[in-house]
This record gives sequence, structure tokens and C-alpha cells, in this order.
Amino acid sequence: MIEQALKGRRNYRIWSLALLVVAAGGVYASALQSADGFVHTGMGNNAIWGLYHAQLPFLASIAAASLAILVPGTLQKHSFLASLAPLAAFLGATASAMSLFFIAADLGMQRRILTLLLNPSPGAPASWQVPLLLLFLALTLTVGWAQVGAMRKGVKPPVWIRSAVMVAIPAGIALPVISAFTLAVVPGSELWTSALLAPRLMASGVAAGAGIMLLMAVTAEQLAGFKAGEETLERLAAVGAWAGLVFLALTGLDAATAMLGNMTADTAALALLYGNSPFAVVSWFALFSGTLSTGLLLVPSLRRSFIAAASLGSLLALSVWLQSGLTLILAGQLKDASAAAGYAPAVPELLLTAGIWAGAVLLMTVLLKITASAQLEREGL
Amino acid sequence: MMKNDRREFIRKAGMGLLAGMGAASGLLTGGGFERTTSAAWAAVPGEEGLRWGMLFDTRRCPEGCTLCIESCHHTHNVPDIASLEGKIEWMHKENGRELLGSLCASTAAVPALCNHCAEPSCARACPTGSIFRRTDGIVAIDYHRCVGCRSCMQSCPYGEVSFNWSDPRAALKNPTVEYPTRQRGVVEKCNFCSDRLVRGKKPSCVEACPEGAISFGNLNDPSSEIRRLLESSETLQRKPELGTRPSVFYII
Ligand code: SF4
Ligand code: SF4
Ligand code: SF4
Repeated sequence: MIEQALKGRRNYRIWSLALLVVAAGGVYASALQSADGFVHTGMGNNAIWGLYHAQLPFLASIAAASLAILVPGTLQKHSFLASLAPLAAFLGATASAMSLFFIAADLGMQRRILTLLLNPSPGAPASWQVPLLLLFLALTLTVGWAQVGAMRKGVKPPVWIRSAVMVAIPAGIALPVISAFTLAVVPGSELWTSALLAPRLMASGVAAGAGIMLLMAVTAEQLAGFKAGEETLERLAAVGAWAGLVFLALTGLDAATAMLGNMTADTAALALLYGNSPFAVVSWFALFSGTLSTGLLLVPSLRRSFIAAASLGSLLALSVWLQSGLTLILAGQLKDASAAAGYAPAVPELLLTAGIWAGAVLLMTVLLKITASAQLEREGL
Repeated sequence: MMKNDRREFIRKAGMGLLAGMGAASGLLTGGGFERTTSAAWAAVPGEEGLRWGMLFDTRRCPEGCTLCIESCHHTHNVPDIASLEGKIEWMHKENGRELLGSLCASTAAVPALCNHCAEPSCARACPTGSIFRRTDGIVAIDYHRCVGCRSCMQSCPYGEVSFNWSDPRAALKNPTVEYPTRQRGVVEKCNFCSDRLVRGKKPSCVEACPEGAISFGNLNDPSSEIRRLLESSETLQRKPELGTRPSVFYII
């Protein structure tokens, strides 16, 4: 199976090489950070968490969202999502692996990383993050691999896949919940202590996950001859649109409650997010692009065009990444407007973040290629 | 008798909480809170055993004096880092109004340190149990277990946890041998002088204060000096409305 990943056309090799270069930049930045600590980042007393931590809620939600495709795709008979199930499994695995890398990157004492497993403190939500991510990574990777293997041989996927998916369901759902709870333990941080944060992360994850899968499936279709089927892609786009709508509604409800109730602490936090902080531009852009892409994806004719659906899906994913990751963490940790000027990511921090993303995209490319060629092989039989 | 004393103490201690809530709601003014009942606080059952606490009589704390801070930072090898983004503090002085809320009439600087909360949110956030509440009420940090995730720092509503963004040893001019230095990548904060208490000494800041403005003792012991002061004076705590139950009190 692995050899499929190495064969390929010229474009594929250039793309992989480019990703490798960016990933290598990440390795370099990581070495720099191991040697000198966080002095090469923009973090400090006014920005306790930075770009690394800002990826975590988003990635947890994407990992969980892969279940929305994986579960019906593997447990239901004749599901229209069956062809996408391996892609969903690989997306879940990649998102969990990325989370683990970002958690590691954000530790001041990286060589004590095993302490997170050896000395957990079960009362602290953050203790559950790493064990759950490892479990979910193992399950989704195995399931995806077994499915592709079966596809290649032209046989039905092994039955144990169903049990593995059953175990993955609670683990996956727990990921965004735990992620929300790690933020909820911070008293006085009004963007984080909302009970709607967990459902919001889940909905936003499904929206962004569908968007990313649309992009993946359409790219694989154009370049590697993968076939998901027209109807499947249209329905996937619909899943993204509806989830996007739920996400926007929950965000709106949270804000409306704060404003109608004149909850001063909450409205002050919203003012930092959308008003008097450097993140306001990003927040408004994210809200606007999320509304736009969700709205357009609700139009059936746009959903049926592969290119339009993939572009709108990517825009939706970008909007969610900004809202459920970047601004949620960076604006959420601000105590007041004067602290807002405190954070600008430094170059090594950007390199390391880009490096982890590039590594993940490379991994997804390889897995996608293996899936596509397995499908082609089966058809060739 | 003992029980009554405790009630009384709890009632007094609760005033900080009520005062805080009163201030937030804008309903209670100065004299008002003597008449309020402390039902919310009294519902918490009394505690046995040791709970270390500290009380500042800020009336005795002169403007500009930083002897307690200097003594603490020297005793515990706290590095002197000038930059605001990298600063490490176990003790500091802040505008009283900002620290204690609108009930504090004065804006003069008052000392602040970790509150050794009875419900510490820092400990609830720590994934490795490296910051934890001891049975004597002290919230301590295990520098050898801390992974440097800064969750505790994020969760402390008082900003009393500092992180070693850079190597602290490089910023130590005149280290004390009795107390360990830390390394880059871990958090630190006031330890209520647990290192001195085991040797039968009072906290360093208490000893350093020439005005006798700082009292230290067992909050659960009705005969302790700190309890007598709490019972005879009106005191404030920092952000009592958050439910962290700070063990540090202020007389304004
Ligand atoms: S003041 Fe902060 S660091 Fe100290 S015990 Fe309370 S929450 Fe923890
Ligand atoms: S920085 Fe250290 S003490 Fe604080 S939460 Fe993380 S592991 Fe615990
Ligand atoms: S109690 Fe000890 S550690 Fe805490 S501020 Fe005072 S001197 Fe420093």
C-alpha cells in the first residue's frame, strides 16, 4: 500500500517537496525552541498562550467532526457517505496527531511530556486531552487503514471496524467537550465559560470538517481520479451548510443573551473580541466569511458545482479556524484592552506552526493518494 | 464555644464575600454590610485542622515601602526581570482599588501575593497535579513535575502565577543557598514560606515588615492572632465573588 504513496506524477512530487520544505522549517524552529525556550515566541505575561494553543479547540472539533461521516459511512448499510468513510477516518487521525504536536510545542518543559500520561490529575479537564487524543488517533488510523486495505482487495471491510468505530464515538465526542472544559475552568473569562462553547465547537467542527473534506474529495477527484460520487459531494456540502448555520446560531444566541441580559462581563469580553482589540478585524472577517459561505452553500445549484462547493467549503473552514481557534484563544485570554497589544507571533513560532500544518497536509496527501489508487485498482479489476 | 467562635469567624470572614457582592450589585454601601446575614457563607461547613492565612493591615503599610517584597524575592531566589512581558513576582504592590474593588476607599498601593485559595482554580486547571493544595491550606508547586503548560497561570484570576519565560538563574544577582533556584519552562509563585514554616520560622515578608502590618496564622484556630484581628475588624478579600475562597485578607 505504501508504495502507492511514492509513485506519482510530477505535480504531486513538487507539491510534496514544497510541503517537506515547510515541515523542515518547523523542525528547525522546534530545535531553536528546545535550545532557548519561548524567547523566540511572542508569548509573555500578557499573552500566556499563543499560536500553538490557539489551534487546539479547532483541531479537537475537526477530530470529532470526522465521526459525522465515519459513523454513518461505516455503521449504516448503503450509506451515501460510505465512499468518504476512509477520508473521514484519516481526517480524524490527522487532526488528533496535529493536536498532540501542538500540545507538545506549547510545553515549557518538553522533556517532561510523559508526565501528562504518568501523573494525570483526573479532576482537571486538561488531563484527559492527551490520553483521549492518543486513543482517537489509534482508532481512526486503524479503521481508515483497514478500509483502504479492503477497498484495494475488493472485499468488504472487516467486521471489527464497527467495534472500533463504536469506541471512537465517545472518545471523539469527548474531545471538543474536554477542550471547552479546559477553558471553562478559567474564572472570569467570559468567552470561555459559556455552556454553549462545547456544542459550538462541535457544530463548527462539522462545518469545517465538511468543508475540508469537500476540498480533499474534489482535489482527489481532479488530480488522482478518486470518485466520491456527485450526490455524495452535494450532500456533504449540505452537511457543512447546516452545521455552519447551527454554529452561527449558537454564536448569535450567546451574544444575544449577553446583550439582552446586560451581562457586563460578557459584553466586555465581546467588545474585546469584536471591538477594541487588534483581533476585531479578524473576528469580523471570520463572521462575515462564515455567514457568506454558509449562505451560499445552502443554494443547491452552487452545491452541485464541484469547484464552487470546494471553494465555499474551504472558506467556511477558514472562518471556523479563525473563530473556534485563533480569536477564541487569543482574544479570550485578554483581561483588558491594554493587554491586547501584547501578542504578535514571532517568526520561529510561525515557522513551527506552519511546519506542523505542512506535515499534516503531507500526511493527508499521502493517505488521500493511497485511498484514490486503491479505488482505481479495484475498478481496474 | 469553639463552635460559636468558628461561626463568628466565618461570619466575619464572609463579610468580604458579601461586601464584594454588595459592591458588584451596587446595593450595599459602607455601613450596610454589618446588618446583612451571611447565610451563603455559613452554609459552608466549618473546617477542622490547619489553614494558613495572612492579613494585611494596610493602614500601617506606608506608601513606597517595598521591604516585604525585597525580602521575599531575596529569600526565594525570585529573579529580577525588568520587562513586563517576562516579569516574575511572588509579591508586588498594586493600586488598592484595582486589587480589592470599589469597596476599597483608598487607591494607595497595597501588597498582593498568592491567596492560597481554599478552592484554587489554578489547581483545577493543572493537567499533572503539579500545583496542588496541601492539607495545611498552602497551594504549592512541584517544580520538578510541572510541564510548563501555563494552564494554572491562565486560570488564576489574580494573576499570581509567574512563568519562567527565560532562564531565571541568569537574572539572579545574589542567590540564597537555602532555597532552590528554578529553571526555564516552569511556573512559580508565593509558597506561603512553607520552606520557613517547617523550620519554625514566620514568613519572610512578615518578619521583614518594620510596621508589623502583616499577620500570619491558622485561620481555623479561634485563638490565633489572625482570627482575633478578623473578628475585630472589617476585612476584604480579592474577588471573593469568584468562589475561590482566598486565605489572604485586608484591613483598609
Ligand atoms: S491566588 Fe491564584 S495561584 Fe494562588 S491559590 Fe488562588 S488561584 Fe491559585
Ligand atoms: S504550568 Fe505546571 S503547574 Fe501550571 S498547570 Fe501546567 S503543569 Fe501544572
Ligand atoms: S509568604 Fe513567603 S513566599 Fe509568600 S510573599 Fe510572603 S515571603 Fe514571599
